[in-house]
Amino acid sequence: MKKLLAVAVAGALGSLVRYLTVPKGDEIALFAVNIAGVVVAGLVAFRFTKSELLRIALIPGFAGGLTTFSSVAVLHAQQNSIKVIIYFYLMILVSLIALHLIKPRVKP
Amino acid sequence: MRLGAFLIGAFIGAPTRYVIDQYFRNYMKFPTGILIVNVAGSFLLGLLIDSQTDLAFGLMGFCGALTTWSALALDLFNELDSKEWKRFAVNILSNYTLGVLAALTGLWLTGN
Repeated sequence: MKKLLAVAVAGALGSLVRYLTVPKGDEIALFAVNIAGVVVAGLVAFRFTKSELLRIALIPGFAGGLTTFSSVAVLHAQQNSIKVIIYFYLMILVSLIALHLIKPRVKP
Repeated sequence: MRLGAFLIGAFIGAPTRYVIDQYFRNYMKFPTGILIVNVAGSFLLGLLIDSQTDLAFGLMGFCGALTTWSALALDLFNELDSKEWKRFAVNILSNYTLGVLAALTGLWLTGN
């Protein structure tokens, strides 16, 4: 129950940050916020944390709420061009590179 | 009011994702829960993307928090890291294909 509440509160907080920073339909801002969430999740995930509750609040909670998939999928579905395919896979690629750079630097 | 509805939706969406994800991780190696929430949320957002009601804003908050990019990215990275190429490929392609198809279906059903 404590875990669920932590995910709910932190998830709502992450979503609030996304709401305030990503105007509807802004592809660049959406890209940036998703990468920011991946960085937060990576920093916490690769680092030993004593508090399991804090870990849960930050990874599925804050980072999960900050990032989103549904807006990316809808944006993709609304446009009919090769650009959106590149957009999607570029976001995957930048996410993986970010995690690759973070992992060796934060390991305890 | 809109922001309030959005936040209530997110407050429910994030733990819903967590519960579904944990449920599947207990007995499956493939991150099935994340795929399910991403596809379901993409469909729902496709349905209501042009709605302006408070309920729609609540549901948009729900979809945004229900679906996730960070968990997908972490899973994909770990799959690459442990050289699980097949799982990596299935994960990326299933989220991409089914997510976009779900969004298209939602848009189509509401005449967009």
